[in-house]
Amino acid sequence: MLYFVVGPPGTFATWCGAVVAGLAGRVVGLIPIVEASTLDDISRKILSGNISHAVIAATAPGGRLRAALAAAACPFVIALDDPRLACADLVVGRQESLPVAVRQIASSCGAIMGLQSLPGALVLRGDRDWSDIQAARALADHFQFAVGDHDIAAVLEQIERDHPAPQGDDVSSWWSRLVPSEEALMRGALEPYFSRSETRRAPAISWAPELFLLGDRPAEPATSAIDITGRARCLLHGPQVLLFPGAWSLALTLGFSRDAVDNEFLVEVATDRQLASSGLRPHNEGDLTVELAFLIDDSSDYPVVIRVSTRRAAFDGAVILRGARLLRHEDAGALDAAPPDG
Amino acid sequence: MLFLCVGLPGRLAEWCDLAAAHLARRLSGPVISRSWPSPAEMFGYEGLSSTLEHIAVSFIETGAAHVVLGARQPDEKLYAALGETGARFVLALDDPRMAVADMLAAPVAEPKQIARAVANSCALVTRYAALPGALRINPAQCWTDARAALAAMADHFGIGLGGSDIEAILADLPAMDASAERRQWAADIPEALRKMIDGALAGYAQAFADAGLDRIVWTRELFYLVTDAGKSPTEPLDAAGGSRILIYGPYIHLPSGSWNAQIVLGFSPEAAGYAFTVDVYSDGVLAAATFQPDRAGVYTSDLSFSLNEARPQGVEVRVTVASNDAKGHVAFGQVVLRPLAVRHAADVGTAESDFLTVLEL
Repeated sequence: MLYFVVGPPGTFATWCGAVVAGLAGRVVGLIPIVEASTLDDISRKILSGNISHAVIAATAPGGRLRAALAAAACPFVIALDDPRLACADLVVGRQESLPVAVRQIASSCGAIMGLQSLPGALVLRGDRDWSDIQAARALADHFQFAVGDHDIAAVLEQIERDHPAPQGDDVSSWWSRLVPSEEALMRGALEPYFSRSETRRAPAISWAPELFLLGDRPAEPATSAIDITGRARCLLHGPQVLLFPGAWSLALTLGFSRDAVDNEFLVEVATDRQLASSGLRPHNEGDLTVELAFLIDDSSDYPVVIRVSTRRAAFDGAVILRGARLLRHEDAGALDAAPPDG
Repeated sequence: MLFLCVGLPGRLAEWCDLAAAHLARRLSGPVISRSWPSPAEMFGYEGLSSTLEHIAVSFIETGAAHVVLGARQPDEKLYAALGETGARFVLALDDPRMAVADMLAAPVAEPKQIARAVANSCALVTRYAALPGALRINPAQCWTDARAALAAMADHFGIGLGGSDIEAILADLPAMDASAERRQWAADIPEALRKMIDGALAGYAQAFADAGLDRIVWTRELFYLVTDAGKSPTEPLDAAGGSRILIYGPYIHLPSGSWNAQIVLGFSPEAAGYAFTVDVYSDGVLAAATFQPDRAGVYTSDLSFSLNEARPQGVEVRVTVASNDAKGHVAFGQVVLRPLAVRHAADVGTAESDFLTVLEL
């Protein structure tokens, strides 16, 4: 049997996974904790590990896995943590760069939204349930593990030894060291998920240029002016972040140099398929915002990518990405075309 | 744990599924058994859904500790995953004509649909024999020594069985000595149907017997008329009526690789001088030729094409009237498919020394 623990990568989701594995171990014997966020990943792990029972730690469940969990109405756990803490965990604990951490946490938050209302979901929160015996009891009951209080206490004791509590000082210190642009990058992508169980009227998501990469140098962020000289090509793409299902509006703001005027550009939104596209032909130097509407459903495991390309060879000119703002359709009235703060 | 049985639809694969389910029950925890795809999908014309995804979904939906999955049309992703992981599975390779006979005996669909479904399985399953985790169960072994087949499966999946366990499981499995009735099948069906089945599947039977796949013949019974998709082009067709597709089908998968297709057509005297097009299509045109018969008679058009992986709807051959003012009649013969093999020099057995001399190696 598979026991799902869904939550952003970090100490709380790790703790939840360890508790479930420990409790299940008391019933069915030692079971592995397997990281997998798509049905294909899960199947590969089953094939490679001869697995009968496992805890599946899904940090950013893809659409098809979400749909399978919903259809099966099976019990699973959502381990919610403050996205800022989860982000700090990745940067401080796993030495990820800030943009990589923000992408991962934003994907995780986007994927988890909407799962909380499913009948099989048990929602636990890091600030309330960390290391709590009542939370461990709730996990045991949710998965119907026939374990006593003594078993639960023993499991928690073992986990405390293996997974010591995070050092709050590290996180605070990291947080205080963020420069305004880094804080804006994180807030823009993650603020809609702060303290929200289900986003209804969330503020707009802002994706800063640091989350995008150059088309022909994919290791470099698209934070400065991009020379468009040369053949028609992809200039920039990103941010590869999962969004929760619904109708979305995007306002992408680009700045054009004088020499880039009257060139033709293509802006696309895609997952594993194209969701929306629009041609763009600036007639003046300066900033221009293109607006696109698209729909996210549970049929794809792929994150959202925005691509900006030239449609013809260009002799001169430069483009700079100012930022992207997104709103779910029900909130689209609040969308304005201004670039993200900071 | 997953007990995966890859094979053609039919009694041999069903026997393996049942045997695997018995083995799974020797372990603790609930067991479920499923066959994939469903008959409706297998006989339908939609793209195949993912076998790999279905494995995870089976575990999630049922909460089972052990899933027995009979994969009848396994896809590329499963093949890749088995290759990457080296996971063990059973490969039930029956003579595909027997698989058709089994399905004709309990008619679940039209003979054309059954032949097509089994041919699709053959094309997709063929590659699995080369995977390191495969335990091949062939009918001769299974029909004559079921005990050995079961013991081999148990060993392959790491299930310890004693002699009495084997006897107990065998008592629950259907009797397998069907050799006599299986030899009889060809005598009990009409000649055209037998030719259709033989043409589409005899090549695979040969390949499964390790003799290589030399050719596949798609007879006219496997194709469809544009004017009536319920009928096959068994009669000459009127070419008059403008430029249009006349014949299409059969939407059958082929093993990946390079192929030569010989499309055999007959033309009446009135059709001479008009243009006709034949093409091979699979998610796009793979090869096409336009020609004008200069007189009445039988013509063969040769097309070469390559397939790198199974496309969602298989391969289609189309015959089109290209001239708007065409007259006369066209008769559709068959399509003969041959793999264009590239063999290692050692397999060719000659001329190696010549090459060494010429290339100064």
